[in-house]
Amino acid sequence: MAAITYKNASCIYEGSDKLAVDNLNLDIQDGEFIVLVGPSGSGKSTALRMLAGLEDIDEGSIEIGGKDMTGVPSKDRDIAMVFQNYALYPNKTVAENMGFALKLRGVSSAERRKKVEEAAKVLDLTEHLDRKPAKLSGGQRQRVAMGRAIVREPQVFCMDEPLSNLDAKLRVQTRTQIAALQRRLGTTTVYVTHDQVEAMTMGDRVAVLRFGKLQQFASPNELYDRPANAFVAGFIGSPAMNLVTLPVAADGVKIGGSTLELERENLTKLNEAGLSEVTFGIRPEQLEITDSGGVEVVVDLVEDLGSEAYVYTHATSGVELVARCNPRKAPRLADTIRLHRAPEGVVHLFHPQTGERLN
Amino acid sequence: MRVPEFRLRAPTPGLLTLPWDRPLSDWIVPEVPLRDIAVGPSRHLVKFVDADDQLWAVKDMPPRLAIKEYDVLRRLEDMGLPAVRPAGLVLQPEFETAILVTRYLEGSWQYRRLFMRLPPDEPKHRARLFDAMAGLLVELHRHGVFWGDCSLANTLFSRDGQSLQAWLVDAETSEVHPSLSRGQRQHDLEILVENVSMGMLDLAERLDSSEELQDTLIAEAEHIQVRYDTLWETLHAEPVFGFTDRYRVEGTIRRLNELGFAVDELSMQPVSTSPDQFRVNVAVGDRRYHAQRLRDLTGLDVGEGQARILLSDLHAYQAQLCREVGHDVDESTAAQLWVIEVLRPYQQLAHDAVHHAGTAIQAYCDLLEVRWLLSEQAGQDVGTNKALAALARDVIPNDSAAKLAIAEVPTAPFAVLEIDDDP
Repeated sequence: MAAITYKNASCIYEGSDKLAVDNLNLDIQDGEFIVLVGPSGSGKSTALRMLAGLEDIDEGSIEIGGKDMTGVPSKDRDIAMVFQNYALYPNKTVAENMGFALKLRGVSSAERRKKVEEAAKVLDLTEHLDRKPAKLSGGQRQRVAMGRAIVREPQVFCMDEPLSNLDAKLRVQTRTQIAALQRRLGTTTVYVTHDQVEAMTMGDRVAVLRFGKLQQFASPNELYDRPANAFVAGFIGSPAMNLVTLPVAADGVKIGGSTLELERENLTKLNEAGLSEVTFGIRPEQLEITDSGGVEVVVDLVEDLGSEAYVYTHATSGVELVARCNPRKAPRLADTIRLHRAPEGVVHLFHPQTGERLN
Repeated sequence: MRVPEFRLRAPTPGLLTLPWDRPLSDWIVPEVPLRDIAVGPSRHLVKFVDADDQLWAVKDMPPRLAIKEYDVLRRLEDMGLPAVRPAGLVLQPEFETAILVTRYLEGSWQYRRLFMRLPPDEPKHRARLFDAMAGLLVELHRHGVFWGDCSLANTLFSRDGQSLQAWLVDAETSEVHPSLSRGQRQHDLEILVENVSMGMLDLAERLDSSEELQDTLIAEAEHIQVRYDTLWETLHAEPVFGFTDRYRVEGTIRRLNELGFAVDELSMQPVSTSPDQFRVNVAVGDRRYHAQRLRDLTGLDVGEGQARILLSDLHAYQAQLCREVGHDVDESTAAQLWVIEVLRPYQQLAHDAVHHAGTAIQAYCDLLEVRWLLSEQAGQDVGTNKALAALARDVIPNDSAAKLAIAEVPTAPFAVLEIDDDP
């Protein structure tokens, strides 16, 4: 196990004039489960591969356990890439499949068996150790593949979209298992995904990247409650946060003819910034349907999920808003309704040009 | 019901009429002409369909992954790399899944089929397999392709003269980059070595081989690293010569040609620190140097390994011709005569001798190899007829490449599935 530090680490792809990873700084504690998340081209996989030694560190450095990894070959970094290497061998038992990497490294048969048994216990595969892979379910085979990495007892697990090749059901199941497993093993883990739900449900902390730059590195709750900028605000959460650029009025922000009132401290922040417009954000669960006041909108779509419903609407000014409501009391398509901010509803204000958080 | 979405590159009638509106797990005989081809454990459901007298592999996958693999396979095809050819992609939104269709590689085998029918414990056959794997990985890497899950189970093999050609058949984890870093290549190679070792041990287990063989197999598989490095270094070496020694460039080019690589561009740049020296960089093209040469001379389109053998035979014929007529005969004239007088009749005889297994060209290459090996044993040229007889009765050296023809003997090829027992 080891702490990991990215210090102003950058990577530039051959023939490109843009940095794939731009001056990345991350302090990952020993035993933490970190998720790198971002859209395609955000640099998340490149950042992981720099750690694994698969991409060069062109500027800055990456340390594992306090040791600079610049120029250190991948095999000498004591890391394991999980899941990429999936091949299972039909005539070998589960135990043999799991322990083979150790055999190649010259580990004795007794020691191999011990490590395999320990890993099998953690992976809930003990009773299958002497079976052949053909007798296992899809999920169990995934776990054997994971076992091949675990038995090596690396300092760091690197996982690059490990679940992307699984069907939806197995993906959710394996997601939970990986997170639980990592907590039992306590091995520092860096996990890459494009799926923000995966990121939020698995990581101790999540690093959001965009165009190679770190946007925010924080706990899932912090990312959700206090996104550092409009990009993070829009990226984290499903459905996404309502984000609209609105004119600033004396007592709030204007949506068409209506005003959405803001607290004094938020108004002060807007005044200090000297802005006539602001990017205003509010999560769907913090908008409520009301009988009077608020903003008048027309219902475009109602998404009934059983336990909750999401109402997709537009105001006459063209502003689109999504609100969460009780599915038993959901409005119907084309209804005109009014939305207001819930009593304890939090609003997020971002600079309309830079996207930086203002409040 | 949401109808499937098609991208078919081979829209043959048989393929079009397959039940694309149903999940692959529901495809059963006799409604669907499925064939029984053994594959190792796979993370996805794979079936083989016989449509329009061709075999197609159909694989059920999450749509995102299927689209990615289809695109990677298209790019590998565009680059002319040895990989399975993508034939189509069918998205099934109704079931939130997709089916990737690839053309089954004719005349290719899984390593298990190949090795289970060969004489046991013949290091030369294994060496051919490892050379093929190292060669495939180098080809992929120099085109910027990271394989990610290189294993014997994800590869098919076909015969090419005295060597084997490896074909990538699973690109689920593959990525195409402008170029690969040393770390990426090394990582891919480590995966390859581990998986090939395990694949060979798995096979040894099935063949009830001795315990002692295991260490040998592991050592041999680990040696793939050396095979890979040697080939990579040869292709990427930048030797420095003095200006007066520039004739030595020819040696560099010859070494590349011998390995089958044609020179695409040669650049010579003065070394900044010593102006009387220059650094040579050779950009190579496809690994078809001999194949292209033979094609130019005869119009024959064969594999690189076959072409290497056939060109040697042609040159021996040319030398004999010169002796017979008493003056020089140019290569082009000799080539025309060689095709008519030697290749055509003898490839037919050789093909008859092996009961038409494989191609006639490969049978002729086998005949040449057997004649050479028997002549070496006898200490004199045994002649073509004796070699033909040996080939026909399969009394040939166990380690000869010709022994690999056994894989081409159709015993029970791809029986029609009678009971669909897929999960």
